[in-house]
Amino acid sequence: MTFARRALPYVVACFAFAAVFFAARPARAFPWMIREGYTGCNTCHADPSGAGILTAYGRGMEEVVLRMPYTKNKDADPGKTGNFAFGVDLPEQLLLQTDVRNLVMAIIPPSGNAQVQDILMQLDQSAQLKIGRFRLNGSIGYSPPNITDASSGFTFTGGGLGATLTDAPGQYGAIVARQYWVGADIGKDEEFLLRAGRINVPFGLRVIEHPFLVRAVTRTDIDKGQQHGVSLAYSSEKLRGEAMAILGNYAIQGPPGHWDDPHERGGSFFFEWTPTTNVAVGGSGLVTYAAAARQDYDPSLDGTAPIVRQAWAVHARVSPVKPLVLLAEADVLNNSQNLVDALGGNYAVNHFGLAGLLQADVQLYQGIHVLAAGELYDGHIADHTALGSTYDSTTAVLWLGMWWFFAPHCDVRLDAVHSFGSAPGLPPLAEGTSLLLQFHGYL
Amino acid sequence: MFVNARFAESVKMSEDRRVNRSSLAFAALVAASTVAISADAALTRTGTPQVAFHASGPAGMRIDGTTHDLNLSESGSNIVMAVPLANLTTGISLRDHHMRDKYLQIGSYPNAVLTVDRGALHLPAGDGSASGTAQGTMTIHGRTKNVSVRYAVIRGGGALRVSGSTNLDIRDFGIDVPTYLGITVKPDITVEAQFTATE
Repeated sequence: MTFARRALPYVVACFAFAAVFFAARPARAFPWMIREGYTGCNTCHADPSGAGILTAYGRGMEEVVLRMPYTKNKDADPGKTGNFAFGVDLPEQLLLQTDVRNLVMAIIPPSGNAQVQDILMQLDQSAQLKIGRFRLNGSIGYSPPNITDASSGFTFTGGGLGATLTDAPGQYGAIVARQYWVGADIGKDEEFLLRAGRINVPFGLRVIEHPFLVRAVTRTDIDKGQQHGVSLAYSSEKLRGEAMAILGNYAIQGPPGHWDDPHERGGSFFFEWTPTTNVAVGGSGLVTYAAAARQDYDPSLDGTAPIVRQAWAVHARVSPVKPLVLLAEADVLNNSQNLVDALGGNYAVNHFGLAGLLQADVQLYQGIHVLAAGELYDGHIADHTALGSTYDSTTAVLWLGMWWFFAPHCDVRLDAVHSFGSAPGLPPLAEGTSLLLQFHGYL
Repeated sequence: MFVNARFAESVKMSEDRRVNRSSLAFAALVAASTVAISADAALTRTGTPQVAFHASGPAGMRIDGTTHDLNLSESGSNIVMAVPLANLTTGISLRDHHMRDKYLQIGSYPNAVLTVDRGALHLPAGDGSASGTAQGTMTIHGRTKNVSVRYAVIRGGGALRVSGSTNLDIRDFGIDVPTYLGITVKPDITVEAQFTATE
């Protein structure tokens, strides 16, 4: 058994755990808003598939249905409180949003001392200018340099490092740009949006918890999973979806002479059908090819060989009663590589995986949410050589959190996350608990 | 407020599926009138009615409003269905406030009223179902317009299960097209009702 294979379950478990540690939640994306009858995303977000800069209506709804009310009169109009900078009347063609998101995290291993980290996950300025049917949309942010206190082990880092325009933060930090695109609204009711640029990959549930395994292993999170490409989104009363031609993530590059190798080309899509205002079901697919696999995602891959990556998913959002929303997603994965053995023969290696998510969001009172989630990843490698074997691993992550939208433009969230895994002949993997306290504010 | 084609189809479905939550009140009124034609008997509403409207906004936005208030009466040869609007809700309190006070102005116009002549309706003579389209008048926001109501009636167990629907343009009733923070609701809406009545 190769080191890579032995390391795979550790890698997956560590990935899940570390992803939590380095959780950078770049933008709001609340699929549980279906409890309010909002089955689609584009009335509240500039991105028709959700997340990112809010529309004027989205800002208003945050005040009306999301944050905790402090008045007995629930019919009170929030006025301009939700506006940019708490009251600025922007031209209707212009959207602006300044986000600050900070995470303080305590990593509690099964034995030993806890480690404390502070991550400035997001310091972004987002904007959209819409003239007629044409849009210019983007975000730019700053990721500070790392600071470590050797005596205590405390570290301070920035987020969004997979979306840097510059090199990884050095002495002066890095500039981050998660999204930037130009687009045109098409159709009588502008039900289509055609856009090109760096775009969130349409796939599965668009959740803010980008470390969720279903987002991480499919590389479709909204933190750093964006790709450059062209997409067409559609939104109607009962059906919405988006299809994207993926041309590669040019925020990364390969080594000299192979700069283009890690760039993926292919496509992805999702669709969602909402038969009623409290039920939505959908499906997704993703197929990409790259000349070289990215070992930063999965060290068990051969970084010098081409890779075909596939992911297929089904998902559901259901709000049986208004206080409760259930989110579920099941993914099937296959990362396939053709390798050359020592004798010059070709053989295929397939990394199969199954990932699942079930999350419950309970709104105890407007503005106060309790969230519980369970995640599972099960994977194995099929190596079609004479000495080939399969290797199985399982990773599970449990989340329990509370989220308080306590004031206009502000929310605070506390999560406890426990992660563990197993593999034949190996001890439990990366087992441990982390506590995450996150603050988010925006103008 | 109207009966849509879905209602007519539902008549042929199982009993459970027939009683669709969003089809009661208007259809009930219509059905009631049909019964009156055949039996010339007074109708009494039973159970809990449901009246719903469905509106939409740009790019897939949906707004559903419901109330369980519906009064059934007869005036001469007409069946009159009056829906008090005070308890019409859409799930968001502020939106309800805007809808009731700013647009429907229920302080001045508390009811939506559908009136259908008995003779325009057809009911099954015995246990069974019937459906059709009837002309009537709808009064909302103080204005009365002629409307076409699709209805279906199921007779069984001594009761009539009625559903109906119609399509409206709120501008015909002098209601401003709702706009809030850049989102404008489409003026065309569908109204559905379901109720049960006895003769």
